[in-house]
Amino acid sequence: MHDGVFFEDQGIPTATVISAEFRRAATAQADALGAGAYRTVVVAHPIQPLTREEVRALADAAFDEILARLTR
Amino acid sequence: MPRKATTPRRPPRRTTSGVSAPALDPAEELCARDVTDGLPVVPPTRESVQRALDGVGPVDELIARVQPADEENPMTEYLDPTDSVAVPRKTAPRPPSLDGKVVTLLDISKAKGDHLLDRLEELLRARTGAKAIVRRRKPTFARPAPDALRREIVGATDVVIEALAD
Repeated sequence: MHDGVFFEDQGIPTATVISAEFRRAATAQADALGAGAYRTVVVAHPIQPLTREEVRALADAAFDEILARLTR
Repeated sequence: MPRKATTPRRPPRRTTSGVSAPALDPAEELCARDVTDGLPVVPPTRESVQRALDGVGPVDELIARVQPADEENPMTEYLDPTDSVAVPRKTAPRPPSLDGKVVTLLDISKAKGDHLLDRLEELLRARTGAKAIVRRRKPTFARPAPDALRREIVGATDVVIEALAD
């Protein structure tokens, strides 16, 4: 979250992909950094037990939202 | 994060005189017992929180209520330990599309994040007009990217995709 906020401050649109488990932590961190408007892209948790193909499927599912975060 | 159920508990530390050591600092104790995943765990004991608060003066601003992962526990409240209010930030202006843009994929070094980023790279190549796709990796997910890496990325990209926190 700190990296994303840093890049946004530097004028670089950033999409930060997190898993659902970290949604609350990310929101709290963003609020603390004054970046309440900053939105992450959330994928299903957990990641570690997934196969490579399953992780790739998460990327497919999240891709449109990632594009939407980076463009207007 | 999955916990290794088979990790044996270490015997209590003893001083060189053979007498049980006095209670360790909780952070040291947790590390010694191997119950952390290598990251520092600092229990917010009343004493440690008070010590921190004593250093920053009065605190009365509630900044967040966070539901713990264990839904049975009551809501936890976080107070802002600083005496300043974070300045609201704005996000960067967005381009209409990624056509002709340099996209940096920043791997935060968590296991399997690379699979996700590999697939995102394929999708970016297939479905956008991005000019270049750059892969970078920060040394550890536990800390923000080093300043040098951040500066390097800022100087060489139009947008960033950072993944993946698990």
